Amino acid sequence: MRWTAVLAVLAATGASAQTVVHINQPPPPEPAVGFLFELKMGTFVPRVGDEPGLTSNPYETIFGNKSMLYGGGEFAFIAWHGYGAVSVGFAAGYAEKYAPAIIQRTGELSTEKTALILFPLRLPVAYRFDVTWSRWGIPFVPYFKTALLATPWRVTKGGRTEVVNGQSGAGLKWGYGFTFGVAFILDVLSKQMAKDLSTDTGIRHSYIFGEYNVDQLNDFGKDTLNLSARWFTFGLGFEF
Amino acid sequence: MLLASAVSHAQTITLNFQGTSATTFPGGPGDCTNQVPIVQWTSSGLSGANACGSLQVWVTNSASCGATPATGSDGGTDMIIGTFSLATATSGNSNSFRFSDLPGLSGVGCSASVDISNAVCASVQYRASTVGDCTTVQAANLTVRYDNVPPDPPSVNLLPQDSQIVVQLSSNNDPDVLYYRVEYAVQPPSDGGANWFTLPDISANVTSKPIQGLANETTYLVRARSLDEVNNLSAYSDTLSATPEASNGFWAEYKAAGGHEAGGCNASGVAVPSLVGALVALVTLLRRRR
Repeated sequence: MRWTAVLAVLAATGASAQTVVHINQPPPPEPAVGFLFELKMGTFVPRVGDEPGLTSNPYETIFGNKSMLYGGGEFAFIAWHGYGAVSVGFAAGYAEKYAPAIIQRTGELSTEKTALILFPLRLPVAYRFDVTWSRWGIPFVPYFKTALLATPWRVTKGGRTEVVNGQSGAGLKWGYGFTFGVAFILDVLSKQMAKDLSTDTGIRHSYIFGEYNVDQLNDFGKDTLNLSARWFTFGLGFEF
Repeated sequence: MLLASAVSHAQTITLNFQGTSATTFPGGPGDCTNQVPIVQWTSSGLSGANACGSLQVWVTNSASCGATPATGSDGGTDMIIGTFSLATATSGNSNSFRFSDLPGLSGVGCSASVDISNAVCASVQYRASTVGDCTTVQAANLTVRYDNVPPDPPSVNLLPQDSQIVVQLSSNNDPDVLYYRVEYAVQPPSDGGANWFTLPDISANVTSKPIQGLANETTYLVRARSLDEVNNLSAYSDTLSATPEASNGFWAEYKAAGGHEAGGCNASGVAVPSLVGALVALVTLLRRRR
């Protein structure tokens, strides 16, 4: 913008006295606060076999070490916007994996399905280094999150919660996690569309992102069902 | 004026079975001596002034109505169930009749293996204006069906599982099938007879049904029959056998591998307060934003 103004003034200097000089107004400053909404998906393999004392990895035995499919969303409040932005949020998702149960007597696959079903919840605090876009015009914004995790889980067999020796295969798993990600600001693709979107819907920015999650989900280090994972998520986000 | 009068007072006859809004009333082998509901008729725009004759209500020997009761092409004769003068009434009830009276059953009887539909009809001639020929107005919206033909037996497939057998059922595209009746029994010794148990009837919309509470490693026999809308029972399907087997899901496999998890909510001392605190902080921030 400033370069445009300088060039216009320089051009005016060398032109006739009647030349009108147009100076573009600077863009409005970024609001101090705002909201983020993200939709994301990914796949992961829970590290069930990392539990100390297991004689085998039951996840690998049943599901063949194939990934669980995850889909979810995150809503965050931008609490501070200065040199970067800090947000606090809430994320919820769903992940499942189905496979045939194993016949005890023969070891063959049963016609009955068993499933591991997760409802991952997290309370993340994030720092986004969005100076890259707001000041330097680079459409990549790196960010970091740390989160408290709580994951209700359930194991089913034949559509019902599996019970073994009176113990029901369902519970709530606690943990913490870290996320490292990069967002690509879509505004750069069409500034006019981004402006129209902001005017019409209040969405100031839209972006796609990829992130790497390090989740420790074993009740803060207890020797229990370990649903920890290292995994990638990808998605679409909106700032408004 | 006459034209306007004719348009505004269209001549119609409507029929319905007494006590039901259904337009088809079915009956099966057990209904032979049962009465078909009384047929109620109602006219509109018709009276003694414009009627050329009496209104007749009858049951045909086929699925469609002619203009008047007649001898059917199959030899049966339509059955008149009422003749009414429009000079004295604009609505009324037919005479009662039984399934065994249906024209389609004349000569063959209820025990014959037939699936017949006989239409219930009404007609009257009227004169649209004070001069000119009479024209006919009729109603043909009701049908009485007598079905003594069993549906096709279902196709059955068995999936043995842990303490149960899932029975997969198919009607083989027979549109008459409304229910399945599944029977099962422990496979007897070669010289013994099976002691069959019957499940409650299963809607034909259901394509699979588990038989639960079975003993693992015991072989069971399963067979099924179809039922139609008048409870005609099909022949039995093929009798199949299956043996439930105990199986491990993920939870059982985890416990068998020595997993320590006991299920339930293992809330750590710090986790719940942290979660609640974070939620409170988020809500506070949101409220301050407003």
